Amino acid sequence: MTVTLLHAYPFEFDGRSVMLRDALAAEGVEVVLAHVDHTGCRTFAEWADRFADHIVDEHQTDEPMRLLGYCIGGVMCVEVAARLTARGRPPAYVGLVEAWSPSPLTRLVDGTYRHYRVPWRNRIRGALFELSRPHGPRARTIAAAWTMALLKWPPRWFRDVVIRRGAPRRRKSRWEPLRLAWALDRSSLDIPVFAYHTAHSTALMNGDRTLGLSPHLRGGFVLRTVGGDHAACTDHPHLEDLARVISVDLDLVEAGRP
Amino acid sequence: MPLRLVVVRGWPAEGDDLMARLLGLLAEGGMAVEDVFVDPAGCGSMAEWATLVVGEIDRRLEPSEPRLLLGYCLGGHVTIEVTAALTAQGRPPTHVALVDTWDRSPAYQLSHGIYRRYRVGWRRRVRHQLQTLTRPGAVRVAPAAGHYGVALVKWIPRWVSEVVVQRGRPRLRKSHWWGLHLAYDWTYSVLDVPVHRYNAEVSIIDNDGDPSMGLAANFRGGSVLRRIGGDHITCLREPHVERLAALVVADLASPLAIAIPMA
Repeated sequence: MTVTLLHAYPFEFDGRSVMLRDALAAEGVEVVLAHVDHTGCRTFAEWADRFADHIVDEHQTDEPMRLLGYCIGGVMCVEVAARLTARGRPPAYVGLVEAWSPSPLTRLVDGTYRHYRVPWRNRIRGALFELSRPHGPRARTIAAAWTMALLKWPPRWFRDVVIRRGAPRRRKSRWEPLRLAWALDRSSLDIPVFAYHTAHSTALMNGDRTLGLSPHLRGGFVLRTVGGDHAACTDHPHLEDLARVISVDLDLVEAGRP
Repeated sequence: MPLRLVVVRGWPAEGDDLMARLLGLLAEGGMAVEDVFVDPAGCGSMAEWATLVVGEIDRRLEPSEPRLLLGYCLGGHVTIEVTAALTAQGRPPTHVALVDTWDRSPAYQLSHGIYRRYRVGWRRRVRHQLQTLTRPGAVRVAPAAGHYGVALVKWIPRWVSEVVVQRGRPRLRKSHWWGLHLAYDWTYSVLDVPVHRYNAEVSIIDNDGDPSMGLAANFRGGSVLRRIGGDHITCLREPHVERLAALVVADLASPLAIAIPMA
């Protein structure tokens, strides 16, 4: 059984996918690593189109497609699966390891919008989304967060523009994919998904076990809680458990369910 | 002792034979069914209605018995709130099944006069309509403006029909109307427990092709979605009801049911 593991960063910067590949291989799952460079893409959607084309080109067998992604690779996994479904080739399995979508309010408070230069259109939509979602924060909470963000703006502007002269705090190779991801207007998936999340990340997301993804998972999803935190879940000793759970789920899908 | 499945109704069983065949097939499948309906008259909200239903379930079941819930249509909405109430009390249901339960899109509710007919509060209307612009895959500003234009044009003849001709009398029976009023004027709870959903193919198409039928954001504990044949009514009639009953029984029997994404 072969799974395509989508990797957003170049492999030389992050060996996690390679470690996950090896752990899955020990469980009898063959993993094909897929990475497509984002250079030249103006949006995450363009990058996802490129990824989808790459995966279709590489998939030359009659075997159904199975996709897996960790972190930003999971975000890419959702986008690619949505595109493949729209092309009439839905993947038989979609696995998301610690792929999350923090709420717009969290992004505002954390300074993510500013740090990744998210377009204003997305920021405003985010605020409206908070107002409209079931049992979201109250209007006064959102207004308070925006007020605080505006008060913090002058010192942040001074620090980022005057002192650092606009230089991003992360390496360009990491910053740019994240900038594209944060500005993404995410797709919805109409096929089932397997999500592997840690209890630590769930706690960080105010107890939301889907890590903010539930509005996007319209085709149903199965949740698995794995050990460690966002980084440690793909490292020893949690990595082996993660690989085992993924392998069991792949067997379930393979066994004719669905 | 067989497992007891609590079927939560939104309508009284009298004069509603739609559920009879499903209940019969579930009984044939080895389930003991508790058919629960509590009149919503006098309830000010879905939460109050759900509290009454929880009380009725507790009256019929032993405290040690697992809570296995199933709801269809409006009964599904009540089931969501019953699940939230039980979870808040620290005794979440073991199994939650929703048959063809939806939250109609903002555009649908506006264009079909749902807000007006069921006297939905303005706060709910505004928050709900914001979803038109903000939920994933939402329409953009120009089509949304078109919706509002059409709704405004339809408003005048509707007002004449409902206020002048019918003198404000609801077109449904009072008990039915009140239940729907509570349902539409409510923001459904977010559930952190797994949910099994059985959605009719035609209903999915009617809900803009959304397999979750507008409820994706409400389920955060896992959601197994099964598509069944027919439409909202015929999914409970032959031949579709047999498959539906078989799926419900299979899901209840399997401890790994939540791991089965789709059939």
